[in-house]
Amino acid sequence: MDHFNFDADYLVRVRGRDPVTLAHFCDFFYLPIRNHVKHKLPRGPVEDIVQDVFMAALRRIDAGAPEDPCKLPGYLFGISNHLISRSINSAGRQNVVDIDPTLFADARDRADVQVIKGLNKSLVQRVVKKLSSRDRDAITRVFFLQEERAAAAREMNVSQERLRTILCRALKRFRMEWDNIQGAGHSKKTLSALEKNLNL
Amino acid sequence: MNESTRDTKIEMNIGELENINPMSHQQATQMNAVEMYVLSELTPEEELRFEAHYFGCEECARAVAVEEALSEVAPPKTQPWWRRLAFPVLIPAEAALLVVVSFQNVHSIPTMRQQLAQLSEPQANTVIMAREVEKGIEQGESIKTPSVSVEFLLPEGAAWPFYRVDIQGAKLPISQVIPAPEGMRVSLHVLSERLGHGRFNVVVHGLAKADVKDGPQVGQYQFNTN
Repeated sequence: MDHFNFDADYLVRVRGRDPVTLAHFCDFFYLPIRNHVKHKLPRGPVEDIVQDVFMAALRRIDAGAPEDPCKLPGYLFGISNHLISRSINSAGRQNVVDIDPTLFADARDRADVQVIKGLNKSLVQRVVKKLSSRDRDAITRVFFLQEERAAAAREMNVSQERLRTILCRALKRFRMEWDNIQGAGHSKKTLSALEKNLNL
Repeated sequence: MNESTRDTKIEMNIGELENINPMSHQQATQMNAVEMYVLSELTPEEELRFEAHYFGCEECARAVAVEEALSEVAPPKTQPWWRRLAFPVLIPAEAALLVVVSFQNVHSIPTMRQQLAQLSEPQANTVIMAREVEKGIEQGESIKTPSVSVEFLLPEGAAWPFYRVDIQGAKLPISQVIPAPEGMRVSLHVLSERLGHGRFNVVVHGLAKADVKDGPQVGQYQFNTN
């Protein structure tokens, strides 16, 4: 596991385009970047911005950043934040980086990012069916029907504060049921597989 | 802005975030940061610290991705089909309906109510007694009602099953075939506007059948209107 510590050696391997390290780099940061972009720009071109963040990050890593290798996650967060702001300010995408984007395509199809590929409507609905009727009602109103929280609370005859608690609990149960279906520890298994490959 | 200036600006921007104190995993768990983040219930500062945290925490990043899946499968918030039709179809239809209803409320319904009220009111009637010609004519009746009952007595011995009554001198020709009355009094109902004003002769013919056009004259009467 030491091999994947964010240290100077890791950055050297990324600069050298070591395939295993590059795969780890992409797998590790794909979900955080995607979550971040999706949270800030739910209707935006999420995958395009994720790719922009990766390209911009590699370009800066090639140029010697970050000074402190331990701060690599924070550094990626900063780049992601910057590109999201740029997208919000309608500056548009500017592919000024000269990184080959195909470097990321394979990485995305491997390993942990598969969790996202598994997200499909029928599976989500299958998991939601396993929730209690109250949790399911709250989830359906807020996420599927996209009702305003105030209206949903009124319809469910609860306060907004209570609705937040119900939603919070429902989301936790949704994740638990999801893990039961998908198989818990999916990402750890993937990383272990990668480590084995590396040892070979 | 040249490349290096822009890069410097970006580096400064990134540098600021790099130094943010990320939320610890324990803090994130205690405050249900994943769920609160998905529900957009964190304060801006908490949100920033949690984002900085999950950039280095696989478990939280995955948890957010799974819970965000609910938003991803939600259908885009579109109007239902009947709402989408509202502008091209329903709004013109509603406008047309409004015009029709307004016209009915303002004009048609009051007019109909007025007509109905008129029809429902008891109609006043003027009774004019026609006298036999040989008895001479009386002073004319003043007619202010929409209809008039012209009455006369059949001569003694008249026993026809039907009579044809012609009123001569009316504005419009009046000729009615009536069955024999129970007594000798005949009452003929005519519209005032059809009758007009002046002197009128009433000529009565006896008919053997209702569909027979002519028969012997059984009497002649007169009356005046003013």
